Amino acid sequence: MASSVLRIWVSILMFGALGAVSRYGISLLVPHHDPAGWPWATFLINVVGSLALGVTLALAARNNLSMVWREGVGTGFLGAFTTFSAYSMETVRLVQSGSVLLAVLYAFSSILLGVCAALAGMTAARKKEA
Amino acid sequence: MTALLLVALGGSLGAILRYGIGRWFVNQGWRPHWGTLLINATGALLLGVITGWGWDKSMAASYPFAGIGFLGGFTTFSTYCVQLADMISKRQYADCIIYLAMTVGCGFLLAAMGYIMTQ
Repeated sequence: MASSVLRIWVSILMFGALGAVSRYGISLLVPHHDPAGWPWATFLINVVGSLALGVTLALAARNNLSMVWREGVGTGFLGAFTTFSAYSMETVRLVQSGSVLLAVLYAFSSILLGVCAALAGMTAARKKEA
Repeated sequence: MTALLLVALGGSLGAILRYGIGRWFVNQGWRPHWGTLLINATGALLLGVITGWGWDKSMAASYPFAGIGFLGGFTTFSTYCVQLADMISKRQYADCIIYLAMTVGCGFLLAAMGYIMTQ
């Protein structure tokens, strides 16, 4: 038992590092220097990550995926890949630079698309297995 | 290269702390989304604080580690969206709206507060 707990911890540590590094890599490829501009990197990361988490959790429930993989990919990689702190700060920065409409659009479209992506991922993964 | 390692280290620590807090909430018999709310609200506040200090503009190692790695990996958007999606699919619309509003409200308010206080 103790060793399986340890394996889950190691998995989350490793996948968490990978998730954060992937996010960092994308932010270098899609730079966001102007605080008044649309934060594309975080936006895409959060929507794609929500889709992938929906798929992962639905597949894990169907296939009895081991906790090491479920927690590693779901909690570790996708949890660390997507981010709420940067999303909040970017919205505050948009408001601060006077782009209030863009801030409202960014805040709500991220959630709306993220939730729809998660629902779509969950449904697609369930259907594929059924 | 150093920045990459610092992001990786911070991301590891953030993810494992998020997992630990999540487990603790579940062990207390509370619904897991309260843990996610606490994590996301705290993370947004702390990112506001260090952004106010100007860490994101300095070339120091502190921001890749603390801002991008740790707070980025600690807070999460995918779990938040999946929890909202789960509430919708279970027709718990009131829970969904309360959770949505509390996360957004706490996140933006605390990030702005942290930023303004330390600027």
